[in-house]
Formats: sequence, C-alpha cells, structure tokens
Amino acid sequence: MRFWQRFRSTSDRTTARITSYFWLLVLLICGLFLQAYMHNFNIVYITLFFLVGFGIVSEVMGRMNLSRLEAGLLSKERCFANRDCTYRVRLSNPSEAPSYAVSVGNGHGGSAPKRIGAGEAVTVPLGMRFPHRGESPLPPTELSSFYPLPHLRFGRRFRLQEHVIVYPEPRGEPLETLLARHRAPAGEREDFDGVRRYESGDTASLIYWPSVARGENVMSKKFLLEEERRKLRFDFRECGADDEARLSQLTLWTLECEKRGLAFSIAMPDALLESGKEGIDAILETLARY
Amino acid sequence: MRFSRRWLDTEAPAMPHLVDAALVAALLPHVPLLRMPMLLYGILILFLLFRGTMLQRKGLVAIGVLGALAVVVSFLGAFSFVGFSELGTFIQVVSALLLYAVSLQRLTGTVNFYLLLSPMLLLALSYFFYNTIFMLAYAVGVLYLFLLLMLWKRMQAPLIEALRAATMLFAGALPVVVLLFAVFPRISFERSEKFGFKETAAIRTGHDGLMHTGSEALLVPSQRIAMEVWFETGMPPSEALYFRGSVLYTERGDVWQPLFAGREFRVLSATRAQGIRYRVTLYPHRKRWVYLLDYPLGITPRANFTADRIAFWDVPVNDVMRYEAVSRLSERTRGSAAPQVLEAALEVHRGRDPRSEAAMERLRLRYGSTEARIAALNDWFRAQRLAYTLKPEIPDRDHPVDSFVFDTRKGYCVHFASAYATLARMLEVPSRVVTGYKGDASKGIENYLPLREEDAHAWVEVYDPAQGWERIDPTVFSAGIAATDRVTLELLSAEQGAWRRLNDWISLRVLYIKYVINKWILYYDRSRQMALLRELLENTLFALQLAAAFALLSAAGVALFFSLRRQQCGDAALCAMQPLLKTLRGAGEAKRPGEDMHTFLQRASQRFGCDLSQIDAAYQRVRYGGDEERETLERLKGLCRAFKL
Repeated sequence: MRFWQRFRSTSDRTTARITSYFWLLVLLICGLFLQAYMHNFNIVYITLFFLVGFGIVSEVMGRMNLSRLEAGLLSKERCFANRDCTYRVRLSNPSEAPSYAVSVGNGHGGSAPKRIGAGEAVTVPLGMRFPHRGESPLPPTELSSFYPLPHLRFGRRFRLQEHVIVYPEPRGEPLETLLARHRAPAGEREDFDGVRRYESGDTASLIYWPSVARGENVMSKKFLLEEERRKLRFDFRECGADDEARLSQLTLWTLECEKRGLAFSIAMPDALLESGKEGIDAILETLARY
Repeated sequence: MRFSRRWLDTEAPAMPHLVDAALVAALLPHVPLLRMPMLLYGILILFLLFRGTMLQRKGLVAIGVLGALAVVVSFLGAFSFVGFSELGTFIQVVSALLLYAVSLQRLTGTVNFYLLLSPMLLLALSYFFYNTIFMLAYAVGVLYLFLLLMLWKRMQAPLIEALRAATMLFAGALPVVVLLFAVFPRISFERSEKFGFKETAAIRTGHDGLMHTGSEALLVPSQRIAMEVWFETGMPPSEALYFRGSVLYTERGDVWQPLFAGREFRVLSATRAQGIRYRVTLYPHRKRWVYLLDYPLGITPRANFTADRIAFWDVPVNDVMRYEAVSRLSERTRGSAAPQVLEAALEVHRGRDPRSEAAMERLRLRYGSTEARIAALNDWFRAQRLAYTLKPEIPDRDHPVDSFVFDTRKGYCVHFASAYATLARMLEVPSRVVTGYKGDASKGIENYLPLREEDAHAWVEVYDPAQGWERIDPTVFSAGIAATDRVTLELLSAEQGAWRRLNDWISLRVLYIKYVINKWILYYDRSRQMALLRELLENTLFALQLAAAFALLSAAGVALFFSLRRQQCGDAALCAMQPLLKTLRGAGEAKRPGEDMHTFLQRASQRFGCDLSQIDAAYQRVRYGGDEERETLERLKGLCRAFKL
C-alpha cells in the first residue's frame, strides 16, 4: 500500500512528454516486429520486447529521477523592469539515489544538465526579465530531464512561494548631466581641479580651449563642486513627462547616488524619501509600488 | 584493482568515440559475411579512424570511390535477378551499402541522426543470418552495450554509475520481456529456411537405409548428437526407447535391404493421435526418413507413412529438422500383413548355413506354434553365449550365420539382428530387421534424451499371426562383452573413470541447457504457445507454478533495481554511519542536503533525547583523522550498528 502511494505520488509530481525520439523508437519497434513476424525470429522478438521493456522502465526511472528533488529560492538580485535579473535556486536531493541530467529552467532561461548526488544540493542561477514594475511572483521553476532515455522528457514544476519587487526601469538623464546642468557659473564652482575628457552634454563654458588650440583631444575643465558635498534633492513632479518616466528617472538617480555615495532625498507627492533615514532598497521599493 | 577502479571512474568520452564503440560491436557478426573487397575496405576505414583521420572533400571522394568499387566487386556475381531473389544475398548487399554509408559519414567527423541509428540497423540485419544461442547471447549483450553507451553520455557521470543505470533498466525490463515473449501472439508465417546460416550444417552419417554385416559394418563409435527428444509427459523406460528408422526384409550377400514393392502408405497427424507425445530435433543425415519411437502413430509436420510404420518426407533432411510425434509403446500391428510382405519376410538362403539350419529344423519340428517357436529361438540364441564387441571379426560371407553363431561368436547389434532374423525364417517365422536408435533413459535428464550416433542400433521384428509384428532385440541375448575387447569395455563398462563420468555429466547438462534454450526461446512458436496456454487452462497447479515463477522473477528484478538505485557511499566514515542514518530516517529525521554531520547529530539528539556525542566524536576523528583512525572506524561501525531508538 505504501509502495503504491509512493508510486502515485511520484507519478503525480512529475510529467512525461514524448519527444521526436519516441517516434523513432516506435518506428524501430514496428520494423523489428515486421522482421520477427515475417520469419518468426525469436531473437528479434526478444530485442523488440527489450525495447518495449526499456521504454516502460525508463518512464519509472525518469519520474523517480525528479520526484524526490526539492527546490527553494536561495537569493535574488535587484530586479528592474525590462532588465535582466538573476535569482538563485537551491536544488536539493534528500533521497538515497542520485538524480541525473537535471536541467533547471523558468521559461526564460535555464541551466545545463546537472547531476545531483544523494543528499547533495546545487545552486542554480536563473535569469528573468519582468516587463512591469511592482510586485511580481517568481515564475515556476521547471526541472526537466531526458534521463534515462531520450524518448521521454520528464518534467517537474515548483511554485516558489516568493515574490520579487520589480523596480522601475532605470532610465533618463544621467546624474552627471543633471549636476552639470544645475551648476551655476557663480558660487557653485570652487577651485579649478584639472581637466578631464570632454563628455557629451558638457556646456561650452566648461571646455578647456587650450587643448583644442593645441589640436589635442577636447578636454573639459573640472572644478571642486560645493554641491556634491551637499544633499541632493529630487522632486518627483519635476523629473519627467509622466509617472513612469519620473519613476524611471528617480530610480536611475537613486542608483547613481548609491554608487557615488551621495546623500539624497526624493520628494514624492505624498512622502519624502531620505536616503539617510531609509535604505536604498526601501526607496526603490516605494518607487516600484507607486 | 586500482586500474579497474580508475577505469570505472572514467567520464564518458566524446560522442564520436561512443558511436565507434557501438558500430564496432554491431559490425562483429557481419565480419564473417563480408566479402574480401569489403573486408579490406573496412580495415582501411578502421585504420583511418584509429589514426583519428577526418577527411575533407577530396579525401571523402577518394574513399567514396574506393568503397563503391568494393561494393561492386563484392557483389559482381549477384547482380542478377536470380542473385537478388535470394534474401540472404539481398541482405548482404544492404549491409554492405550500410557499412559504406556509415564509414563515409563517420569520416566526416560529424555525428548525425543516421549515424546514431546505424548500429541498431546493423544489429537488425545480422538477425537475418544467425539464429543460434550465441547470437541470442550476443544480441542481449549488444543491447546492454548500446544502453550503457547512451546512458553514459546522458548521465555525465562515471562509468560505474552508467553501468548501474543500465543494469537497472535491464533488471526492470526483464520481467516485461519474459511476459511478452510468452504471451505475445505468434501468427507467423513459416520460418524461411532458404537463407541464413543454420546452426549445424555438418553432414551426419546416420543410417543409409541398408544394414551391412560384412567388412563395411566396422563401426566407429561417435559421440555426435544424431537427434534430441523431449517427451511431453515423462520419459519412457529404457526398454521402450527404440526409434525406428528403416525396415529391412531382403538379405543380399552381407547387406540387408528394404522392400519396395507393394507398399501401403498412410498419413497421420500428431495433433490427432493419442499416445506418448514427444518432440524431436533431428540433425541432418541426408536421407528422407525420420526416426520415430516404436510404435509411431502420427507426426507433425505431415510425413508419408508406410505400413512398416516408417515415416519419410519428400526431401532429404539436410538441415536441422524439428517435428512433433506420437507413439504408443505397447501397440502391436494387429491384423494380417500383406502376402508379399510375409513372403519377403520368410525368404532365406537354403543350404547357406547348414549348421544353423539343422539346429532350427530340430526346433521347428519340436514346436508347432509361432509363439512357441519364437520362445524356443530366444532360449536357443541366448544359450549360444554370443559375445558383444565393437570390434567384430568379419564373418564368412558364404556362411554368415554359421560363422557368427558357431565360429567367431562375437559381434554387435547388426550381427545379432541379422543372424536372429535369418534363424527365425529358418523356423518359418516371418521376420524383418529394423534399424534406428536405441535410447538409454539413464543418459537423459528429466524429459530430455539426447541420442548420439553411437546409439545406432538394429533389432528384429517377428510376425505372429495372432499378435502381429513383435519386437525382439537379439543383442540383449548376448552373454556379455568380449573379454579381449578393451575398446568396448572402456565404452560400455560401468567401471568408467571419474574423468569420463564427469565429462559425460557436464556434456549432458550442457546439451540439456542448449536444448531447453532452443526449445523455449529460439524455436518457441505458435504451437508451443498454444500448448502452454492449454496447459495453463487445464492444469491449475502448473498455472500457479508459472505465476509464482514469474512473480519471483519480477520481485528479483525490482529488488535488483532498487538496490542498484541507491548511491554507494563514497568514504569509509559515511559508510559506517549508514545504519545510524537509516534508523534515524526511519524515525522521521533525515539528514538535510548540505547539512554537516555534527549539526544533524545534534538535532537528532535533541529530538529523540538520546546521546549521540560518542558517535559524533568518532565520526569526526575518522573523517578527518585519516588512515591512523582504523580502530576508531571499527568502533564507529559498532556504535552505529548497535544504535537503537
């Protein structure tokens, strides 16, 4: 009874789909049947029945290969709308038998077949791309295997009970450009701090003309900016044409500020987000859920 | 050991090498069939592959032309309608073309779908040529190899794991194969005998339809199997195991001949006759007749049947033949024999053997009835104390009976039968000589009886108007083996050497196994399937036994499957822990993947309230202590085995 229950559970957990090799196997069996039938070749009958036996037993083996595996989310990176993000799935095999040729996928990408030894676990990175910001469930993790024979593709689907916050797509005006645009000729530039390679968007006043006159690469002047030591303030209402553009712009600036280690605040219509008080992830989540 | 371990730990080689292994295995049975040009072409391809040469366009064209020439030259004589009408030739051409195509594809270095399929096609083609036990073993072995190679590549695991998986598939598939083989309906056509290599093509001597008593009667005992018999319902006693081949009436010089005139033919089918049912595998003897147990009633496939109960087919037995027959041990051919037959059975050369004639005349005058005369002749013949020898002296052609009975006084079955038949005729009792084989039940196993050429025998049938033809074996009247005949003594004496006894014992069992495999596997057909079904329906005990055997086989297959499925532990410490892990797992506490042993043991201790610290400490010492901790390992094993919740 227990055996039957276990068999049922194994069967229910997994799926088996025929592949093109299945039709090859059928063709082979038909050919051998004709050969055996026409001449009563018992060796051919035996070969034929072995192929049938392999076909039947391989279904049991293939289902057992996947049925005891367990999958869980191990870690995830920040996910942004329309950008590739990666999360890691831990695949463990608590049974006494190893599992072979197990591929892991989620409908968007997958891993190469792996062997997972008995009592062992492997970590598989999976890629994903979400089209919209907000909270999204992780796609089902799909295990598949052609073990033991290629005529059947065995599958098993795990629904990871995890959600991912998809942040707005970071796009818009780079922080550098914003800062350059807002640098006033007076009061904001402190001491001359050397030259740097000209970047698209630099104003004409910043161009270091002696380098142009010498026929060298166009360079721009660098100043110590007082503003960089001050807190940046971003206003939701002023940074884009529509809400999605504003959120994308703010996400980009948030990330760049994080990268540069700049303190900033975002004035949202109903709240003020301050990097000093809230973490970057919390700010991004607020933007994602807006 | 270390080498084999390393070999077993090998990962799968590249796909082309796996295909090469499969192709070489599949090509083996084709090698003896390849004609010389194709064989040379095959060797060239092997050489190129061995060197790892992959050809570009020009090289491929050159090899292609060479291969095409090899095919054409190989089958130059077969390019006619007559040649292709032979399926054997046709299949040879197909396999040569396949080899040609496979070699060209392989030399490109690309493994495509057709190349992957070709080993199986080559295997299927080889089935046309062989139908032997060796081929059966080879086919099963090659299937296993194909499976192994496929799994090895797919699993990306060491060879040992692929071997385990392949064996699992085999063990699981075996009950399916057995069941399907037994019950899958066989509605086949007659097996074609016009092509292929037969199991045994050797020409057998056998009987030639005559019986020589002169110099040509010198016998060379042969151990070669002449026929194999399987009795459906137990083996009859040795006294009844007479397989008749020819019936001889006329003595011409030192040769006994059959009677051809005025014969009567009847045809019986074994399926309708009632009696002892048996199956015979008859090896080629180049004659038309078949050997049947006295007294035959029927035979399948149908054969011509004479009034002398001799069956023969329209064509000589040039290949191994199998037939089913029915006989009745006690039956006598009641009723009157045809006058011309009785006349021939009384023909005797008066005046040729005066001493014998005088002795028989005295008996004839003394006993009136046929029955009494036969009894008197038996007593008289036994009283002569004639000796049995396999090296007889050649009797005097002018007085053969007198010479044998009164002078040489030794001979073997043909001399005994010839003399007895002639003496019976002198008593005016119709007689005839029957040649065939005499079985010995002690040389068989269960229902199986092999008959060798040395079992060839001759006996006599005498005619009593009240009883019909009655078999008498005059050889049993011999006084024993000639004391000077060492060869006969060695062959027939019960005091055989231990080595010979062992040899006989082994060879009999090998023959038996071979016969059983032939019977139940290679030549299992519709009639046998129907017989099996009938037996299942009529015999409940047999059905239960068969079901139990199948259940046992299935259980063994499943047990092997699951025992191989478990991963073998890799290191000594983990192996020692297995009993403990099993006990805890049974109690519902399994070690989690990736969890270290120490954490797991602590968790288990807390849950079950038991002290596992000793085991933990011992495990850690063995795990990280190396070879110096052998004593601790033993202790750990003991602790784990003794652990109980």
